[in-house]
Amino acid sequence: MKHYTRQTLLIALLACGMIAGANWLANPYLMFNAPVIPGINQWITENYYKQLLFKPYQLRLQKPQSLILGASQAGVAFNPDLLPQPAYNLAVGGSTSYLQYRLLQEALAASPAINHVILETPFLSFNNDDPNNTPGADAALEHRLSLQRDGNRNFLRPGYAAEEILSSLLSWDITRASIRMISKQEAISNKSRGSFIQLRNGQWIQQASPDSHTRQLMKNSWKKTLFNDWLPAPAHSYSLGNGQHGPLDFYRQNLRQLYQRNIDTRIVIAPMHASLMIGLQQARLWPTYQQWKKSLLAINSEEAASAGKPAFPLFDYAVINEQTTENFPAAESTTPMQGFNDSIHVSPQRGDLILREILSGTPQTGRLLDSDNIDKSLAGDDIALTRYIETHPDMQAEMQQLFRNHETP
Amino acid sequence: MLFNSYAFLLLFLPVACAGHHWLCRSNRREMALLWLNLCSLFFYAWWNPACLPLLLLSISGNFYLGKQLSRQQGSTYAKSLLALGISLNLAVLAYFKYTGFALENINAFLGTSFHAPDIVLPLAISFFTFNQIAYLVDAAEGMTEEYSFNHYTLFVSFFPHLLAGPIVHHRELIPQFFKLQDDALRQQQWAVGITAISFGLFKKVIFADATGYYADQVFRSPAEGNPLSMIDAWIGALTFNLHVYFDFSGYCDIAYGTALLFGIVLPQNFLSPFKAANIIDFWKNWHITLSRFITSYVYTPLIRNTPGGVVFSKAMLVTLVSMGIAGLWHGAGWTFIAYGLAHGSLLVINHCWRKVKPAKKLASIPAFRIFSIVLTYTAVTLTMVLFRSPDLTTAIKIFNVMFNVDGFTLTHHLHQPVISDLCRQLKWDLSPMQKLLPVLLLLHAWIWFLPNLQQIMGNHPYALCNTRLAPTRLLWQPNTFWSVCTALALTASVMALYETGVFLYFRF
Repeated sequence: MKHYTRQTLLIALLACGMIAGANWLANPYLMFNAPVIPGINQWITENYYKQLLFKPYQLRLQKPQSLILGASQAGVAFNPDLLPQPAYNLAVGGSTSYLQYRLLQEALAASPAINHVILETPFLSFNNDDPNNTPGADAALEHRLSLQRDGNRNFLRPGYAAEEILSSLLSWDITRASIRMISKQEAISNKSRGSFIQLRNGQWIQQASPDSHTRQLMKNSWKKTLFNDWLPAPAHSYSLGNGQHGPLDFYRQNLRQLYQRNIDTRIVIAPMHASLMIGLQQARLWPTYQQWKKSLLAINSEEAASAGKPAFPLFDYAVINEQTTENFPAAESTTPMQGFNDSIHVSPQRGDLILREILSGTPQTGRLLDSDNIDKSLAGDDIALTRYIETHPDMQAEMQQLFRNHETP
Repeated sequence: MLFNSYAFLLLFLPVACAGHHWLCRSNRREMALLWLNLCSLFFYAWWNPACLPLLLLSISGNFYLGKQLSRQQGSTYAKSLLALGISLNLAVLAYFKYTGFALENINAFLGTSFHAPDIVLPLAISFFTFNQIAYLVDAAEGMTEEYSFNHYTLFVSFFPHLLAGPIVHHRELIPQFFKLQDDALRQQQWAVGITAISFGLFKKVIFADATGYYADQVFRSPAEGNPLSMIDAWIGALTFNLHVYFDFSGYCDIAYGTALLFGIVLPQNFLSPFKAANIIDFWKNWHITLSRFITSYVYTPLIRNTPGGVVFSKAMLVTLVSMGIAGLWHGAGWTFIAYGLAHGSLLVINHCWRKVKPAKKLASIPAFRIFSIVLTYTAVTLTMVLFRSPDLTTAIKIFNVMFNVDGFTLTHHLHQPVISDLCRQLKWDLSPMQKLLPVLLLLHAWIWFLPNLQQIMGNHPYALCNTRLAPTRLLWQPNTFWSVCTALALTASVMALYETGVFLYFRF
């Protein structure tokens, strides 16, 4: 009997140890400092939906000096290697304004040396009607961070962290992820399949499948951006909401922290393809979108004035110009577009270009918004959008069809 | 703390075992029991420390009353004291568990607007209340020994049974505290205990959680306004049957195995109830200790204390009432009362059927036995709709869909993440129904045709079941084959802990 008990526990321990060891080595969620082994974990592909699990860990581990905050647009576009090192891309796909506030709070606590921040402000983050955009909407997030909302230490964190580390070593979920990731390595190396690839600096790459039709990719992203991101269920509505604990208030609190700590910050409105702006207009969100840009600028000016410091530069790349009106390829073409992965995410090359412009302070393909030029700039956008629609009636017809097909938001 | 959590399996249980065995080995039995008491109270307080004082107060009060009852047995004072003790226990239970429900109904019937206070239901209150009522009744009849406070506290709070049963009797637990096992005996208990825990966990985290996920979607659908087809509703009811079966069966195995690690044998609580050929047998094998409690402390006193002697019609009426109380014990809701009454009615029908002459003859025919098993299973499935539904309106909606032939398709909003993932990996293009049906058939084959763990492990000295053993080749032996199987079940279960849910019976 003694032998049986020992043997059973030993086999279980051995099995657990082997599985945990294999998962540690594969490290599909980037939770550990495992070595990079080609064929095993060179391409991290399975953690797109686990960003809130591993990014706070990586943040504590890497203690960056430069930080990129934002949603998937920044996550895909901005390579932290271009920033003063060490740098980390903390952008989280679909992040709300509240989440960005909590992540900045976490980052400043984890890495007091932070002195450069690129703050990408995605339109989707500011939807006051989004049920996820309220404090307490994501209890798991609150437990995961080392600070509570009020800035005090989160005493639940150690237990939660222990569970997350255990589950990242020994769970069906992580084992499935390891197996899936290892099985994709060769195909990703020779670019014969598409995938999201997470880089260790926090940026991720959207590798399109070689047989996917670029035009279709663009159109699929219209639907996702419009009906899932900007107008999420159940309300399918968008409003800015100026109240306390609203999205704009969390943006304000972010700026206040950054001003207080004298952190060199650049605010960015990431580019979108002009076709998606037709969608904004179709959803009757265009005036809200314009108002949103004004609010970003106004809050930035107010916070700068109250801190007695010059305002952070606000770069607007969501303009209609040669880059954002890049033509779609022919219907069956699989050739990727130069500047866009899809209608809301730019290609890494274009992302690098934008980041270099931001760092130099001289935007060539975007513009620097300030209180003197904002009205004129936005009025110019109205005219440019009307002209784009006139010259692209097919695009507008397709967008109208999309709205007809989709249940009324 | 949950049995199916990292904290319990990797931290609490090893520390509790190590402390207990060190104290036992150094012949400090009372200290070992005190250690177990402290561990049990810590285990209870883990969920919500604010509920610990209530448990301690309940234990102290009942212990004191029990002492008084033992000393005064037979006197009028003892009878009054017993009535007071039972009333106090029931009042506490009623306050914490039924206040909201009662006020809600008073408001509905009388048009009043009493505000229900925000009461947190203390974990396990139904279990520790019933355990102690039984103790008080026995104390008044002189059937209790002079237990020490240390022993009595452990009887109530012993963590393997504290949160979700079995409902233990003081006479089957406390005498075991006095036995000190030698090393060889302890090794046997460890071997059996670890095997039971491993397979119990496996049933819970692999089978129960997967089926529960599916059933949840079906029972949520009416409230969310999602359409359900007849097939959806039946599959929802069947998957909930499987969910509750594997959940409760798994829990009982873990409780039994955990107690064995401390040298304590808990009473049998679950014995393949879905193999029952009638509803009377079902209740002999499903939550056995609850049936035992209801029979001894509700049914029998009601029969004894109502005028007119024991006649069939009165026995049936009392059965109905007792089962209604059993239903209400599960939770404060009309669905639970309806569940209890439905089972009461089925028991009455079963008893009436037994009075019919050909019943015995028919029961010996194999084909009729199979028909009886299927009929009993179907009846239980229907009552489980009441048990699972959040309210009677949902239950009625589900029943309507179950008996309304409106199509045989499975709607696509029902997600099957694990199976879908597997199919994607294997590049199988299957419909939702094609994915689900094999799993349902396999799990039903498991519960109907395989021997249960008690039968498989019926040949060891701590067997709970030694009447219907599994075939010899399936009997558990402490050999390498079983060692590997147990270790794999344990590993597979530990890997699923992160995604697991709470045990169903924890809410009672």
